[in-house]
Amino acid sequence: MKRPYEAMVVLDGTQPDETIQKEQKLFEELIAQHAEFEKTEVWGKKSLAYPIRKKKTGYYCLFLFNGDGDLSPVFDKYVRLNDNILRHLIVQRNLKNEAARLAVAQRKERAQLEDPVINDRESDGKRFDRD
Amino acid sequence: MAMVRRRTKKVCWFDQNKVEPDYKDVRIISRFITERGKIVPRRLSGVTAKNQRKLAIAIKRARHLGLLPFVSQNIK
Repeated sequence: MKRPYEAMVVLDGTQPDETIQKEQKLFEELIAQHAEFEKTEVWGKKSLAYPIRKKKTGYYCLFLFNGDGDLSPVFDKYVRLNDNILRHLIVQRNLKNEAARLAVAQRKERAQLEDPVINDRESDGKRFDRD
Repeated sequence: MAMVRRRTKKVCWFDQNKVEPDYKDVRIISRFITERGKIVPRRLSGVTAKNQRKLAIAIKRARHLGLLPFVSQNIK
């Protein structure tokens, strides 16, 4: 049974653009071989929150596809052997939530919705970061 | 005798906006971690139990992907 999946891959951001593009194409082909490839959302280069394998930037790609779960071992095997890939994560997609997220993003743009205010120390009077 | 007004009950942001926490929404998720990178407890964020569990998973996934820190250094 085909289910919608998404695979987030973080490539090494310090590599030249051609290498990154080549890796991205290879992933798309790999996915197309074993599943129904839908599309790629490229987030591009971002600074990492912490160094991974001594690198400070990563190139983020999100691959959307419909598969029946046999892609995962193939993916893992390829990823483990490739030094340019820093992290990967394959997850089942929640299509209802995707629509909701899109709606929230659009509302945010239109109304300049405030981001949630959480660190409201005055109201509680307690610190939750001890030092 | 003055009535002590109870602090307004905090509402779950995710229920209000009808979304579920997702590791890809870094801007939203990052509001639920402290300066040191720790996940904010429910009693302070007002998130429902169900969403807090999903939020925790989303934060941990984002940490794995390098989108959020595990620990942040505080500059004092």
